[in-house]
Amino acid sequence: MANIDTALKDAMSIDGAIGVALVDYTSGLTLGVMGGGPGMDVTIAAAGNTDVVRSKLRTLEMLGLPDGIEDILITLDSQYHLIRLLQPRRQGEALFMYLALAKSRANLGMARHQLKRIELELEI
Amino acid sequence: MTAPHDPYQPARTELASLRTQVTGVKGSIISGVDGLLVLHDLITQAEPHDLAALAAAAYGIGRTCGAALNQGNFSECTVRSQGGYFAVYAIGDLALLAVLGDDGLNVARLHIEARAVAARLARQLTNQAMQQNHL
Repeated sequence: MANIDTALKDAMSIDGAIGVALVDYTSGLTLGVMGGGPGMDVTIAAAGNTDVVRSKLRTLEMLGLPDGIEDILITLDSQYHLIRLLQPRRQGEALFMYLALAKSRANLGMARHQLKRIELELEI
Repeated sequence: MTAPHDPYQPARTELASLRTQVTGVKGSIISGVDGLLVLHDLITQAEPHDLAALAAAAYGIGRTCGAALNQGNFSECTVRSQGGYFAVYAIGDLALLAVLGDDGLNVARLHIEARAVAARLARQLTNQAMQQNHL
């Protein structure tokens, strides 16, 4: 079992990782961030992507689809942004893992697989 | 005939943009640190003069804490109640920006946007004060 820091480090070790954040999407606040840099403020990305996640959840509700989101992929010209919603383990827990990858260095299938494993091992 | 010039228009635009851009924001006000309302942008029943007084009260506690703990001037303060948020940001040394949000507020996003808004309002306020001094 891994704590938040270990999980973030594991996520940063995924090929092509630029930045990663664990985000509470009821408030947009981060439980932890790693990576990023001058071109990528992970905290801002976390707050912005909270709106993305909420919007998609609302859309599913409006469509009447009784289904959950496993992950959301946003493909940029030079990056992949992967958002993985964590299965809530207690009442009111609403978290997602946000991972930015450099397209040239990343293997998308592998990254999704590794993120899934990191979620399973994460203990909060 | 030209329309009367509203010196507060840029500030009104800033408040409106906060409400339209950040999920969960129900409105905001600008007040002096003395609790007197300067202008407001509220879409709820909340009484803007009451919010101005509450903002000044939050500022008072924040300033006392900062002084007692030797952490400098007041910068911001967020109150989360069971049904929503009330956040106060300093605009320079003399004014406050107070934002009212519901319980679904994206508070991280609000902090990012509101800090930028408060900094721009502080510059506008300084410019206006300088222009008035020159008249």
